[in-house]
Amino acid sequence: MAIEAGTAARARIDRLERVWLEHPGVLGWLTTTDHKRIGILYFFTSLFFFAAGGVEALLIRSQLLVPNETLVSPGAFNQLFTMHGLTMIFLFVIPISTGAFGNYLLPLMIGARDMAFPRMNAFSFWAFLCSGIFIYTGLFMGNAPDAGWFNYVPLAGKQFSPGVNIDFYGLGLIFNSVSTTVAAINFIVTIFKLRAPGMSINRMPLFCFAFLAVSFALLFAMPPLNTALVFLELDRLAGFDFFNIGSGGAPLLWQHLFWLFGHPEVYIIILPAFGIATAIIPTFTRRRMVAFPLVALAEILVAFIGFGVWVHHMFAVGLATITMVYFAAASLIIVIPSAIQLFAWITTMVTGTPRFKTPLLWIVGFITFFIVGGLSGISFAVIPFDQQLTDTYFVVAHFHFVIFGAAVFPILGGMYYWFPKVTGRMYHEGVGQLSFWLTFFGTALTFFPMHILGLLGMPRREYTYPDGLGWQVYNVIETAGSYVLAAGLLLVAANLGVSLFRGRFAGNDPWGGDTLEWSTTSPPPPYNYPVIPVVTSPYPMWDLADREEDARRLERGELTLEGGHETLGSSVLDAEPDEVLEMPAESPWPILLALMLAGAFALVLTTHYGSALVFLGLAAVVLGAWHWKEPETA
Amino acid sequence: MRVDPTGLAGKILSWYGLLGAPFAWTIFHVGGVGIATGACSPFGLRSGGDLQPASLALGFGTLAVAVGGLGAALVVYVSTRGVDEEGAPPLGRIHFLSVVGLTIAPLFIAIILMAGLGGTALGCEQG
Amino acid sequence: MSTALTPRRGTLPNGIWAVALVIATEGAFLGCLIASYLFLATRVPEWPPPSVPEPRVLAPVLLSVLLVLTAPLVYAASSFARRGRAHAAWLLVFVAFLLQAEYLGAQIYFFHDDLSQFSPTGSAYASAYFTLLGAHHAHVLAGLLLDVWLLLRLLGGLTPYRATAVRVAAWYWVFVAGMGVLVTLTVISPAL
Repeated sequence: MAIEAGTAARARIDRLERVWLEHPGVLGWLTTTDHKRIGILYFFTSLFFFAAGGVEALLIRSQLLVPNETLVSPGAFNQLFTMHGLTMIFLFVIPISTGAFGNYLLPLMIGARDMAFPRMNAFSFWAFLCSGIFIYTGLFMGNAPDAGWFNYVPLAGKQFSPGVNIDFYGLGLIFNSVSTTVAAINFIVTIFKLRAPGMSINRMPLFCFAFLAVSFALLFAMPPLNTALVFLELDRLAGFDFFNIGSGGAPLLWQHLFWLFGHPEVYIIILPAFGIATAIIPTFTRRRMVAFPLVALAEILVAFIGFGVWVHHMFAVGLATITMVYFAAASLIIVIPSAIQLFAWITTMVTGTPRFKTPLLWIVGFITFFIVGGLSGISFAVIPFDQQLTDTYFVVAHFHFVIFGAAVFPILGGMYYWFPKVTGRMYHEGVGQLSFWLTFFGTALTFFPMHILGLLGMPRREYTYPDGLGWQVYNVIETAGSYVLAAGLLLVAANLGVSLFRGRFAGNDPWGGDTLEWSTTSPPPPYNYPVIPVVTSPYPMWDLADREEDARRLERGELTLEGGHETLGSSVLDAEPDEVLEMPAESPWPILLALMLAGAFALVLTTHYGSALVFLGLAAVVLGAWHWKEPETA
Repeated sequence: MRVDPTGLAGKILSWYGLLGAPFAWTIFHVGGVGIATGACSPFGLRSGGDLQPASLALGFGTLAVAVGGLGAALVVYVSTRGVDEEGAPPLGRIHFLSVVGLTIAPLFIAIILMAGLGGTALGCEQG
Repeated sequence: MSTALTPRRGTLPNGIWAVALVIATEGAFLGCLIASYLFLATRVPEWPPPSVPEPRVLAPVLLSVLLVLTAPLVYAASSFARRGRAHAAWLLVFVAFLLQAEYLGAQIYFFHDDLSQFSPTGSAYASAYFTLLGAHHAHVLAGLLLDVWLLLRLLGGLTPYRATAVRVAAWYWVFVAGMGVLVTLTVISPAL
């Protein structure tokens, strides 16, 4: 129910509009600190990289269509599958889920006016963009990383990869991790401290629990990756010996550090999808989520236990069995929180009144693929099974079912679900449903036969394969499937692209949604809410009395915070109102800081270390300028 | 056994019930993997310790902490029975977190038991 | 300011939450460095290798004690800042800065001396040793820059924002001092 404005309320709204207005045009976008604009910037940048990763995938599938194909060279194929993995994980799925969906929706869902640190938010986007350009510069120079997305030594070491390919990987990912770490800190402080009054931890939307889990996971997953990358670059650029066996180093150290990051990373990929699913299901089933506390805890638990399973990526390496058993045990138990969520989602749909509109269709597709991918995943927790099928197409099938089927489907569903909120227009429902079915069947055709190929022994990352092994028919099906999948995705883009200009006007709440973002206009104003809402349940939009009281408080001027660029700070556990926070407005410092860091990384890549230090010094100066102007206080 | 959930004892039990089992598992996992890695390395535990006793002691100790966490969560749950999990804080929040603790503690106990029992039967042979 | 709301006693400003989370992630990075050092130690028969002298013990321990003693100084500065006593806060930060700079200077001297005896490119031990120490020294340098910033800003008087900044520095120095103790214990462990 939207807030209707009387005369006094109208005056307050006008004041808010004036205070929160940003510069028009390109300058406004370059200096924005509005979480919604930053979310949109993340969205389109991620989609651009998704397209690049998709083209790489189609080239891979085309190369594998027939035996002994030579569409691309072996060296180019190595770059293709490496860049495909890097792009999809670091430059698409994480930025779109956390950066786009998280940034745009989190402050709206908790009733805040912005993130806790708006300029840091802007900086995280510009650093992401610069790191993506940095990595792709390697591709355009013909020197893309080519040792696979997990980049094992000694192949990635100086002896076997003497060119700059791997340095684009190492330095690019360190740069990228600055963006994600900073974003994670921002999300955590926002969720802890900016929730609307009454939104105690047991009344927080499940979407927010998912993002809280993702953010803590990012905070602790990035350090092992950065450690590994620092060691790798020291070995490559300065001759250190972390991974050099002849000098007492250990290639296994890379694997431990990488997977200590890499496994939590896959939960980081899937958790936002869980959050999107838990936002869509109640709306389209018209009932509250079954076992709400269990779903909330499952989201956190999956991220937590995820830090204790990494060696299941190394079961074929020759570790002691007593070491491996710790990880096998944890890998078996980690299925349970996912199963809890599946039970809750399915029961909610079955006991509710489902409306199978496009967003819910994508969630049904997600659940289907998550079950398939989850079953192949739990099989890998059994050590002997893993040792038979490691590095085969069975693994490729598993992770594409969970990453594409289970992480990307909710993202696509979320695009449809929140399209009316972000744009103010509705998409075409018929085309939406067609785009789902095309993508669903394309996904199944592309990735299901890979299970069979793996069981038949086809290794992953194979450039080509000989005739007569019985592999061709499955590869043909997969390649055909990949083109169907691409068509489905293009149809999604076309539907949303055309609807942006020609869709019918949506209104504030076309779905009867349960979370706070549906109470404000579509698209939301820069200040999100004219009055800070007060909530008494995790489904605030279904508490009509509370929303009517919001309207009355707007008239009275309570918690309107229209004196400046303000939002409300509250206590961590129980969201009791604490203080009024003065938020910074537009700023050039975030983009400048990102550019200084980009310069520093580029100069390290080209071994101009002195100049790199100069850029780091400039970055410190920019940081000083950033903090020079202080917020006004009472 | 019931406690005042908002009193000092209630608060301690509430946090122990939520965090005890995860904390225990973390120590078990890090310590166990560390002991196993050190003992099974080419050059053995430099401290001169033995694999099995160290692993067993770690397993029993952390299991006790995890079971204690389960017990604490149960006490708080019973003390807040009847409170709505989505209810007003602090009681609603405390009850919600006790449900969380009751659910997660058995899972961590299961991991400690499985890995601990597996560890008694296995050694440094390569997998 | 449109609504009079006062922070309740004991609530942490957002900036403190942010620095706590930075400490968490940097602490994880430190944990990975130390774990890597220990992992590499299990892979070779001798640690350090025969070509490398055993690490010195007394100097690192004394320097760690020095660094630990500066943390309460910055903490006290934070306490004075929150009570509005700008001069006391400035003085304490200045004394801490001098001691911390002295600490870093001494550490750089020993680092340089180590480099003259063995190279980080000669063994995994040396690579781990110099990287662990170098990472710690980089954090100390960042802390010194933070001190300089505070000293500059406090010359212009106290505001709640600057008081929070001093508190951020206090938290940071507690972390760096703790990091120093752990790094010292790790690098001297072969000699114990």
